[in-house]
Amino acid sequence: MGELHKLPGYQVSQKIRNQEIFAEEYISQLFERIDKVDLKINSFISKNYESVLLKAKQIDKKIKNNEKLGSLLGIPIGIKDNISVLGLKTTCASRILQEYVPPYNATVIDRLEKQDAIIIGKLNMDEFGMGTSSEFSHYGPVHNPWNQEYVAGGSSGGSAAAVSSLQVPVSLGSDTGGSIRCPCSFCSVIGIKPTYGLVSRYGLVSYSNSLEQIGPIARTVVDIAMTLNAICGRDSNDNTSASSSASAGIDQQFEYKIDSVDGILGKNYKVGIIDNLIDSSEYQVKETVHKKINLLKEHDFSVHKTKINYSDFALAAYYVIATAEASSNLSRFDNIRYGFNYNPEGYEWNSYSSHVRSNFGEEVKRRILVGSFVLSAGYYGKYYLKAQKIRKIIKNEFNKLFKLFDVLVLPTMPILPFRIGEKVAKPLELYNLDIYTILSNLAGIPAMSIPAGFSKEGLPIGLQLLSNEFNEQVLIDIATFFEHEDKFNEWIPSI
Amino acid sequence: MSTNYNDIKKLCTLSRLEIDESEIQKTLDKIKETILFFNKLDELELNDNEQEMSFNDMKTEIKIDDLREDLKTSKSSNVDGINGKETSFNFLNRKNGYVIGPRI
Amino acid sequence: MTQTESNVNQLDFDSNNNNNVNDDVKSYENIKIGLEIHCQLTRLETKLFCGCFSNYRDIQPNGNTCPICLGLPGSLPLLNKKAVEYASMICISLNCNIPEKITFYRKNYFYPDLPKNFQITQYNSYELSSIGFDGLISYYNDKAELDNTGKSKSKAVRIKRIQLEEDPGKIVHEESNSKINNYCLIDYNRAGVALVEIVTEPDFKNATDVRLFLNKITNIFEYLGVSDPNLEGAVRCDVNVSVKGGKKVEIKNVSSFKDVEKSIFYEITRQKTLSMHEISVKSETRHWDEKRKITIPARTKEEEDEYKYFPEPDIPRIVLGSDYKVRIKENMPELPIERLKRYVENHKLSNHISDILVNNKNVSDFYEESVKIYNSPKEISNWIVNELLSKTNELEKDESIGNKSDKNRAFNSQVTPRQIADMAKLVEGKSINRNIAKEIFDKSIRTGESPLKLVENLKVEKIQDSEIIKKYIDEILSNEKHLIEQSNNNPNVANFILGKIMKKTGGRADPQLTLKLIKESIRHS
Repeated sequence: MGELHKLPGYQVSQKIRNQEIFAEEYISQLFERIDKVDLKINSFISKNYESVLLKAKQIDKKIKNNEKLGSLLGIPIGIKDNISVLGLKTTCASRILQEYVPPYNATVIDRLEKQDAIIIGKLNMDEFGMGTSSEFSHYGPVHNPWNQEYVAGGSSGGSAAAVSSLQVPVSLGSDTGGSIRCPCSFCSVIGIKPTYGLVSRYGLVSYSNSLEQIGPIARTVVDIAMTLNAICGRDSNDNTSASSSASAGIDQQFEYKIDSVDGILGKNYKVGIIDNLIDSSEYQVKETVHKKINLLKEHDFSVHKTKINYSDFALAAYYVIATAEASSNLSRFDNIRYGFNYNPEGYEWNSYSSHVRSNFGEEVKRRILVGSFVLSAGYYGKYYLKAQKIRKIIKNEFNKLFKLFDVLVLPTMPILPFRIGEKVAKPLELYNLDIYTILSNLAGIPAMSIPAGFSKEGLPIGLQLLSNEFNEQVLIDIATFFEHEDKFNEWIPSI
Repeated sequence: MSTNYNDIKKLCTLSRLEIDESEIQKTLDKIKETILFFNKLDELELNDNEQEMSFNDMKTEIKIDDLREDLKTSKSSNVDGINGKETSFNFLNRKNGYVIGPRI
Repeated sequence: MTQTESNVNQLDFDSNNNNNVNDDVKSYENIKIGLEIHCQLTRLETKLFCGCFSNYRDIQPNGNTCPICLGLPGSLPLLNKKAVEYASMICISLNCNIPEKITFYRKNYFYPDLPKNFQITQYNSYELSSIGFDGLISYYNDKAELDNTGKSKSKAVRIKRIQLEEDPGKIVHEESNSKINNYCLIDYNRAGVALVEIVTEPDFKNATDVRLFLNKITNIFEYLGVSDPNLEGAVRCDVNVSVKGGKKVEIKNVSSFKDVEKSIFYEITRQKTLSMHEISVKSETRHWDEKRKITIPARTKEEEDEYKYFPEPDIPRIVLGSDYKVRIKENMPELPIERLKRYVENHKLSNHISDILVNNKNVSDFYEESVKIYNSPKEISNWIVNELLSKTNELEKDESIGNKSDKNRAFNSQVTPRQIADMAKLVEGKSINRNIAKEIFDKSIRTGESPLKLVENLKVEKIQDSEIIKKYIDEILSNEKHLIEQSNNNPNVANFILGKIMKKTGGRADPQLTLKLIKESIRHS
């Protein structure tokens, strides 16, 4: 078998463009890789082989005919299964959508295809995005490519694992409370949750609409920047996209660049270390993060300790809002218009709905119930209203910090990856793992996870970078720096 | 909050979720745990300034002029998403064009 | 002075018990009636949150849908700018305040006609979110009575709030022989159509006032050009009734305004009867049974009270700005009350006539077109009100709105504004007598022929030629010489001769001229 699957996306694109390789040939090799590896990882829910081959052939033809070529030419991209792709099943890893085929494309899909990327298949996840391990899936858990007995992280576990195990160079995930960054940290790849509103949510099956964003996952920073460039920007189909007047300016065109290391050093970024959060993480995580911080100091970055207040309220606020919105977003799944085959004739409306909805997984059901509770009339002020006010307080905290710093650094996860099955019965323990990631969702600011190192047992550890809203360029710069120093794009599991 | 068996039953009806009798106690326990955890929010007292904040300051805003114009979309059959395909959305169960639902 | 106060100060109003002699409400009964009116913005091109057509009525089931109004996973609502404008115009016409920012909320409940199992609407319990609030609108009582200062008495109702929301789809039940329906059929063509909900305070005291108000408000919708009330289902109404300070009962599913009146009568009677027997009235939702003409307790759906309201995360807060109300007002079409003022002040018509004209936009537009052709407001309005309307029974507004369109068509197709203008010209120019004109007009309505043509054909012009008249006079006098003698003693002889001549000329002779000539002839004989 060839080695083409090891290439990062941008190199694949270059070689295809230069006709060093053919798209069709490359795709076929990728299929071989997927077929070989995914039995162990379980990152794919559905694959698109026929139309992918067709698309690859079209691309080869386009090149021959000297037609205009997109920036992501020939790059195969895996799509988390809660993002709508026309004609492909979009199941959200749930039994209740096991036969749902969307009649339309999410905006991000249209934009990727416009740049001649190839949508290769749909990736496994925690059901409806609710989870931190990708164990809560109707299609079975996703296995960590670094050690298959361990979880891949969630909820975009399939997206991170597929990239990590060299099945695809780039994938899309979604992040509501850490769902891109957590699996990236556990699988040693790069992932970014963009600023709220930077990327259109049209076509993303909503879990918690005021918190979530779609973002790219890849092994190298160049691929992250290229993919983000292709999908970001205001969308008339999503009124919450990039319309925030204050920060974004009027219809600002976003384009992220890869700078040289010298250029990055020359920008004199001020780095803030969120000490109180680093301190609460597991020993090996702490150690690894400190090593990265030292690297920054060695290169004369301005590095200072700081802390963020109110973080202990943040987790409760996050779950109040997420479950509340989820309980409403998931109401539409009553199996009448779409879902799975179960004839309603003869049934009474209420009992039919309750019965088909029992096909939700346990975790999803629990969150719906909690969310319903939190929104009921007597409790609205106590929970939901208060949680929203806490968001503003946390945003203000970040505003203060970003007056002093350009980027903030902390771990992505407080612990190392854990074994499959270890925490399934302990929801609250799982919720507590989100403590570092939910902050940026609440505040709407961008956050990136990059590979930072490994534990003694060879389990990946991730470093998290935060910047102010619409300041993704800082994150890309810092990531470029670390990639140059650590060459983490060459850290590949032996699978 | 005093969650008990009846409260859970009510929540299940409100959310149209069927939970097996054998599972109700377990679910109840886990939910109770989560809601107790939420009570952390009570510890945070908002100062006067924060109390006064208009409800949802994290909410994005949009100017009236930036809203969608009242123009029909050009698709011939409205349900397809691309290029005038004639097929309408593939509903699960249909009769003479209507969607079939359970009796009410 | 607030906008509300200044607008209404022009009229006397009495929103509490008033002294109208025709009011059969006794104050100790303390009847309170409130309305919840849902008006579809049928004059929009598209639905409230997507680009599907707003007029779904002739489209095959589920042919007017898209991912957004079907609530497909991943779809996002896109608010229609014009819907906000139309809703604002309604707010202004009802003297409501409009906030600087508005928000949308989700009302969560499960029902087959609701694609997302929540409705996007507005809600004021947690914050002021809706497009209009605290309004006040007056409406005249039927007889437009005058009080002792000569001002006309009117009543007023407070508007609690006005909000924008989406219509659900439609559930259709199959006609079948089996009594039990095994399933329901759902058509989502209507799902997502823009609705404006208008909620009044319970200021109404009787069903008649409610009917008047409904007529007034649908008239406003037509003038604003936001909705065509004649379309089936375009204006729907729920009613709240309470009696003697008791609990409030809501009546739903009233399809026509006539039924609104009936349901109120029924419900008041039902509640009074209960209280007479010292049974307390339950606060509940009842359903209007159209066939049996009674209210019955509603099914569970309407009883649900836990809607889990929270702000719609997919729709940002809409910033209208502080000058929005002014902008809208400047570009708004003329309101009925403004038109009425124009008729009274500029056209010099009476309040009564103006009110009748203004009460129906088709009639009023017809009148204006006619006046454009022949500028005689008094004469033309006379023809329209006294001749045309009474004949076509246009004033019947109690009928269900669906029937109105037939009457309008009848009204429009038979007579044109030009024809009325012609009639007016003829009569004012004294070319024909008024009585004859009325006959001609009758014929014109029936046959559709132009009055001018009829006048020509029937030769009904006034005879104003003295020579011709004299001929008639001479003929009579020569045949009945005794009349000359009798005229010396009897002044009525001249009239008698006039009568004969009118008979001979088929009423065409100009009466004044003829009389004058008769007297001359007698004197000279």
